[in-house]
Amino acid sequence: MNNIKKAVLAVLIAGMAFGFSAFTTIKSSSIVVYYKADMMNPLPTDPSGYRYYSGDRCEPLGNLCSAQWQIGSNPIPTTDGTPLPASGRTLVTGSIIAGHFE
Amino acid sequence: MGTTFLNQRTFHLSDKAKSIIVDIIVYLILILFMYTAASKLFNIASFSSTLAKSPLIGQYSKLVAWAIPVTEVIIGILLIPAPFRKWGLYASFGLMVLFTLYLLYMVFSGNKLPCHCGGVISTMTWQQHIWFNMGFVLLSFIGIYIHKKS
Repeated sequence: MNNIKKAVLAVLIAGMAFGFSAFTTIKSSSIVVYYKADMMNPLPTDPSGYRYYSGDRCEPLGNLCSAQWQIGSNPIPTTDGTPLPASGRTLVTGSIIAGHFE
Repeated sequence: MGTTFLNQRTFHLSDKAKSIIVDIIVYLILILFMYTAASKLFNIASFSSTLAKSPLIGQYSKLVAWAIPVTEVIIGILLIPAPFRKWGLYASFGLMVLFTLYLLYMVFSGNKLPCHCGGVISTMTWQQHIWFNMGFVLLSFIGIYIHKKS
């Protein structure tokens, strides 16, 4: 394989890797991690008490710290403390993280 | 007699095999850098906020959040044309060593480890990430070594 063919193949590989990553990142952008900040209703499937915080707020010890929620067409939260939208959200199966919010 | 014995034991690779190995290494590094660069660029706010929690990066988080994926893309571009491939391999080796040292510092410093930044690689633990990076450091090193020899 000459150098031009190798370069073309490399560009194709690079483009596919970049495109695939961009596609999966954008696709998963409606999945947001919410923290169970209020444990009044400690069931993981209960949407009440979940709030958005940027970054990692989980500490060890405890049964429920955070979970991923598919928020569909709801706006992506940007401010810390934003509660989980009242409608149009679904808990992502297997996304519950043990520990406790701090 | 001794020389003959030594020659028989020397591992020999043909030029074609060397070229194929370097090509495969370059494509693997290219996939890694382009995949992670896109993942960071399309999730830059989250990546920046994660970096802001790092004691080493802290206030420079926005600058570093842009600098890392841009550097990855530049190194990826360097790996494509044959004349610059050597520099791309050196740069990728350097960057992977830097990432690995950062991970080692974070794991062994006793600081609270922030969550990861995105993409498939984000599912790894910090320890797994170190081994993964070391694998790519080794790959880059092998790539440089074979490229020099060929």
